[in-house]
Amino acid sequence: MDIYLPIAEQSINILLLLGMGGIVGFLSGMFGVGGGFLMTPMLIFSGIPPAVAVATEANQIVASSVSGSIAQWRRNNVDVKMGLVLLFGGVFGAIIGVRLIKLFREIGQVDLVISLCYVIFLGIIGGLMLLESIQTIRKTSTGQIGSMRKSGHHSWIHGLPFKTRFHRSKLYISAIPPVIIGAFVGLLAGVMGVGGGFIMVPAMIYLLRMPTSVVIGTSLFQIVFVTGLVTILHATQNQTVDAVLALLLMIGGVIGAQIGARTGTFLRGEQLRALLAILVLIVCINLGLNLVIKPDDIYSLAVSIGNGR
Amino acid sequence: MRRIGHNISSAESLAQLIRSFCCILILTFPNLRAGSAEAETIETDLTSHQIVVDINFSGASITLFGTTVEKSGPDGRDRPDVVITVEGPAQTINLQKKSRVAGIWLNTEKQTFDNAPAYLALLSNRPLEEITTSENLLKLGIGFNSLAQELVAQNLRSGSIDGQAFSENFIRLMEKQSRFHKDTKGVTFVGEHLFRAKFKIPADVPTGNYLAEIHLFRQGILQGVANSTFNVHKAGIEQLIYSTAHEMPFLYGILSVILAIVAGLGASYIFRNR
Repeated sequence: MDIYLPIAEQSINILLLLGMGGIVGFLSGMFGVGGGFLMTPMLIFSGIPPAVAVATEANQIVASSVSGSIAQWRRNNVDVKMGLVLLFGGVFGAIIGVRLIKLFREIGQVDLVISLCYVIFLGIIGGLMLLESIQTIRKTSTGQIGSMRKSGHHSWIHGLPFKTRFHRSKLYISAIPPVIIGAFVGLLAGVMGVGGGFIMVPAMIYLLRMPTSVVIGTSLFQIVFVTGLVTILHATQNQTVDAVLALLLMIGGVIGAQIGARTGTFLRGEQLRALLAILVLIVCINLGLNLVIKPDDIYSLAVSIGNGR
Repeated sequence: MRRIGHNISSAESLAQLIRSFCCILILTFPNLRAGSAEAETIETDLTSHQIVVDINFSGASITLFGTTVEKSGPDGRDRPDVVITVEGPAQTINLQKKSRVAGIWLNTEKQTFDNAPAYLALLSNRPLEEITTSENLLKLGIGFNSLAQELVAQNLRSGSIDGQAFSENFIRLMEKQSRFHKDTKGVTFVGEHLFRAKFKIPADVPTGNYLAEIHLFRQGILQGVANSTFNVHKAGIEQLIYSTAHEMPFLYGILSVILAIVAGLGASYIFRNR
């Protein structure tokens, strides 16, 4: 059963798309990750042009982060002020990110740039996750209980100006670090079509020292608006948002996420995290090999999408 | 006679095309060592003149029917040969060549083909070299060889050094993507005069006007040419989404986001009792 995607301008199997949405949704429901960093490479592997994959995935993340942040909002887990500061940075990052994609499209290197970004980020995330889960597995098997390292409050962050009080997070810190974090995440959203939670959540915990209870909700709050903006920017500047593709991924993703969230509660965390880490590394290696191994065909055709068609 | 870069407006009628063709024929014939003054004519039609690209489009298949109408009567002549070219609208296509830079394979060379046909089918009842001479084919602008020549000429004009390699690879890749298609058994004779030919339009083919040219040969000499056109266009929700995305991109972006928000709200409503 094939469907013709109006913007990607190709015919693709519906069940493949629903299945991909479902699998990534399942993983994101189980691990509480956004899934953009898995979905975009999978779309690229299945033949969707990278620029369309990035823009469309941003659109799908709007849907998944809306439902996620509603659940967090109900539990009062959103620091709106912090979210708005992160969003302020995110707007600038998103604008720059989408401009960069447009620029690289014009010089014909957009595929390379997207692949390189993914290899780097998936390598770092997968590697760190694998390391962490192996350590946890070792510790639990030897009966050790890991002690959280709490360093003193003398961090360079406290020396920065523009100090602001964030009531919900019980913090009084400079607004500069959250703006920078937000901008970086917005840049990733524009270039890679990810929500950026995998960068933002650790940054909020370890750099900003926000209470863990508000971290997920606040990052989802920022992601809704940043990915929404990224979608609009890609639509206006690159015409690469495929609404049909996005809708199918949303349907698969929503169902998968529900099943994943239910399954995740019955399974051991660290083994699963190790599996996710391995999966991330496989995707990373696959993308990396495509860049390094001599391609079967050194020639390729590129019809400029949205131009002259 | 090649129609590269030539766009036929959809308003142009078949009659006009035939008329213009007659002019071309008259101009071309003295060069062709034409055997007889009164040319044989061909009558053809397609099973479909409108290909509609909608949400469930996965390519189309068109059959061309034709019959030879012999003016000089059947005086025991050799069996006719039919060569059909189906050409899509001109398109700007980039051909990129990768090479290794610091261990990474990346696109380093690019050649833009401004007037390449987006689709080209070449159908005949037997191999082209058995039908007529290659000089004749080149003169008539039939076949991949003559397209390659055309592309090389284009490349030389735009200053590319390796025009030959780029043109060959361009044609090879277009064939790989089913955009270019050659079938030396694509034309089947049903009896003595009636013939048919079937060709496929792939799903990712561009919209626009397509021209099928039917060439009739006897003993290597062109006897007559006919043509038939069809149009590929988007319709329904496909057309709506595509034109909104390209003509009202801001609105399209807003609508995409609204769609996502509604989907997200819907999901949290359906699974609310968690």
